[in-house]
Amino acid sequence: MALTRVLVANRGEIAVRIIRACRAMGLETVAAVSVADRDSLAARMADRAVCIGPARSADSYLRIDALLATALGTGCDAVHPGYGFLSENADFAAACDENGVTFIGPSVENIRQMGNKLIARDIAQQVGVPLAPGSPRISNFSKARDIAEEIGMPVLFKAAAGGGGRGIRIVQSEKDLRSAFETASAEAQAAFGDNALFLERYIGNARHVEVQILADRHGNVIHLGERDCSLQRRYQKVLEEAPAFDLPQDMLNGLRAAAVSLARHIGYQSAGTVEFIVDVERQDFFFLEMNTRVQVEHPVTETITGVDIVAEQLRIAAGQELSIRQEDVRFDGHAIECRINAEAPLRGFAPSPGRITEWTPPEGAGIRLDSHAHENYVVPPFYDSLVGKLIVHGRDRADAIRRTRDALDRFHVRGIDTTIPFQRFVLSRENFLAGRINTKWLEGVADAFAESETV
Amino acid sequence: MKLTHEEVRQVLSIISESSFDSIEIKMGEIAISASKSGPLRAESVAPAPPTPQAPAQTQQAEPPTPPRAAAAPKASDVADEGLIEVTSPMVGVFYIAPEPGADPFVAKGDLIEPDTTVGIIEVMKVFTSIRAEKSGRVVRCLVENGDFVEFGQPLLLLQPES
Repeated sequence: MALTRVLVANRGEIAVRIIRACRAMGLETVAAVSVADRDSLAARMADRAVCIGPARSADSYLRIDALLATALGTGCDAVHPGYGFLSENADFAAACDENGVTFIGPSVENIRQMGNKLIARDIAQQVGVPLAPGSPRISNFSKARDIAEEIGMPVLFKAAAGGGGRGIRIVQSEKDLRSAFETASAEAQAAFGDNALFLERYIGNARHVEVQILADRHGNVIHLGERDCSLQRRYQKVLEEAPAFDLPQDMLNGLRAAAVSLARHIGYQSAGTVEFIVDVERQDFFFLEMNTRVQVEHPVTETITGVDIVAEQLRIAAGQELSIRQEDVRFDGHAIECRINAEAPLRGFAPSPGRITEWTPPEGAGIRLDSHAHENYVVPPFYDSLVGKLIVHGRDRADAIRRTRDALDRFHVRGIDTTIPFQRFVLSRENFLAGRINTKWLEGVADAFAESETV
Repeated sequence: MKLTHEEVRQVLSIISESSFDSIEIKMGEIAISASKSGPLRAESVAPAPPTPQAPAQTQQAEPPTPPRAAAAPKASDVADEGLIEVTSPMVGVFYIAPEPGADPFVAKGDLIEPDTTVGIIEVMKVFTSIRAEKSGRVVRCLVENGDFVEFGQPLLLLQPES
């Protein structure tokens, strides 16, 4: 089932990334763009661009009918959904299947299974992947109270249908349980149309570690090692690293084996990421969720392994075998990715859309920039604020940090505010250099940054 | 058939003395377009989307080259002629008639109103009637029956009636 023409059903840097991978493999591309992205880099790079609707993503990038009509109308035999938007929408994947268009991703069933956290937990449990002490589906408060008592405070309410940090409530003490239950349940209903929650033990000193998986249609399932994505602000990742440093080898082996067996168990076929919470104090790890798409931070893994993850996705979709076997995967040095967002870190990270009047990224060996931005590019106000990802490769973690700081010093952007100064600040913190980080650490750093700059 | 220099001159003088701003004459293989305020665009100006069979660019597209796709309606020359465009409100397959073989909803020369149906667009088996949203006389139909159209793509050119 060779592919010839791919519809890129996304925008921004990932659309550019996908078009590059397609071109390298000799595939034609059609970029589906909104009115706001008519002149985008992706629209210029693709063999053809089709305007699918108004700027608002609900009227364009989230329109299954418009995207499929475009795929069929332009003779595309496959659709790459990127990340976000419809990338984990089982209905979109099903509509592609029904119309004979290859969805570049896993099966509809796998998307549905992993898209529901409770089902995903059940499956993980069947495979023997460790789960944080928690509950099944909860729909009334008295049950929630009983379970919370059993697990012990603090606990975490999560939306069964949730993701991306929405629908999560931390409860520190018994007396806050009821109000947290009610707000989390209302939020889940509003955000996902499903008010079902579940409870989990809250791990205070935690790292977010995830394993990159590749699985083809011939039964080959491999991992490309792990990434540390503990540096988050409001549940959004800010800086990612590979490998996940300072973890004992037996834990790494456990994480990798758990991710591979989960993927194998569900018959997974594509690139995917299994996310875990690592309890730093107890040196334990727990299954968090599985993402059934390419991740924003995939380049750090590509940098240390030399494997092109998007190209592998295309190979898998075309029915080919993975280009690499597990025993040939090597990890070389350390990579850091800084997300460059059009945000004003000194104004509470407020979005900063507008025209970029200067865009001078750093260059040199070991520096990669994934971006759709350029001088005179107008960052539209309709979408997320990511304007680029700076990925830097070093011999080891200390070397990678030093090189990333140097690269950020040479990264000049004018016209919009960016998170570059904040990233520089983060990379100069002693606790970061020492690796003393967890998923809450960055929030404090953001406050410290605001204070340091206003004095 | 050939037009002599003198005949062309006569045609032009007829236009210049008439109350029309532009004229198009077709006789057999010969077509003349002339306009008082400037040259008319060549025939077959429909901004047909580039065919996907012909991938043009193969070089790395950095630095960015001018967009050659997602054809934003080129308003300038249309505006010069005082014409207005009826554009597609959605992506999909455009049909000019209510059913195969039927007369088209609109034809060149028709006077249309904002609520005139100008075609049907199919998106995944859902058919939507497309209204003109503008009024004027149809100067040109820019898309063929069964064409795949983009959001915002011009469908008709109208001459506003004063």
